[in-house]
Amino acid sequence: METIDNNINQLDELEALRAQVAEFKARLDKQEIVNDRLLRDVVKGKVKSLRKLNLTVYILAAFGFLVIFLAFVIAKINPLPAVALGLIGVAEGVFSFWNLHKIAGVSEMSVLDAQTAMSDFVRREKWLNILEIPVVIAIVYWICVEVSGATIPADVPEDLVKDTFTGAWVGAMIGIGIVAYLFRRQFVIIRNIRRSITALKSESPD
Amino acid sequence: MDNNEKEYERMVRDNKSTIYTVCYMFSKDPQEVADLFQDVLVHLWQGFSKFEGRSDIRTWIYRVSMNVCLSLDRKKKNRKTEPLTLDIDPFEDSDPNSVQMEMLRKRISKLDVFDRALIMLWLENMSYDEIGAVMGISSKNVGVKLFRIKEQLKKL
Repeated sequence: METIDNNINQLDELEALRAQVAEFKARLDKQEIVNDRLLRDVVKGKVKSLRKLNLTVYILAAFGFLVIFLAFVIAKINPLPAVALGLIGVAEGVFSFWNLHKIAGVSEMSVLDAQTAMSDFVRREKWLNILEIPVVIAIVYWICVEVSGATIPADVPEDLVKDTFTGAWVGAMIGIGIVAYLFRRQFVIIRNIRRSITALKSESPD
Repeated sequence: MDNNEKEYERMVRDNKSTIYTVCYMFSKDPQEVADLFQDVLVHLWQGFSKFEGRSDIRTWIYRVSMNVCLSLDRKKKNRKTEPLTLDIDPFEDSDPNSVQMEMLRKRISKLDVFDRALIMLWLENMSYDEIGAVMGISSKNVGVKLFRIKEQLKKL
């Protein structure tokens, strides 16, 4: 008898929660909430959505590549590693564009389809980064080899050159460690999301 | 202002409480609510001209709102967010309904994100069919899952 009473109380409580939400929405309906300026900015495209190609980053990267390339040419250092770095940048841009294209209209899909598409998107992006990082490190190493083979002006102390290279490599290793940690965390999040999606799709009680 | 813009504005004003409630339930603070609200409006506008009315507009609004709020790549944005013109602050208000809503939000926030979405739709009085259409699962599955989530919610 007590169990039935408890169940009835709990059901009442859940219904009360529904009533709370309805009352909350009724209060909101009396409010203005969204100002005219926000609506105007949205329809005029002044407020952009989050998931857009970051053009500024690509423009800066292209500019950076050009500066490195010209510096190499002027210093008479083999410009091939700089070209390789530029090609990697272009490939990444193309991949990002394709990857973004795959999630176009995702916000209108059903929640599960959208979340599946989004986790695929993030996973592809992360795999690209994982594959790209060793290649970039190899190219940077190549650049270092080319630069170290170049004639260093006599007035630059040798210790300074050594310290600069050591510092750069220690910094790079710390950076790689941090990136690896962040990637691992993101992969764990994606794995958990995918598990939840699978659980939600299954019709048997889990 | 063309007809499309007028229609969009009307749709937003008619459904503002729904959009706000979804954003509120998936946020930690008023700033995050404003960010999400703005993002939802952008996605609704981008999809509005393509919306052909094949599904109910309410279902579509829920889908877009939920997808934006559940988005995996939610990051801190370096962009200006228009503040919402709202007298109610459910995070801080002493109004009994706001206090209760905040308690409810905290309880729901302990659930898995998809469970949170399901129970939210149920709290909005949607039928199992409608919930299934938003979530992309069968109505039978909705029933099974909701039963389990309600049991879980009672214990929180």
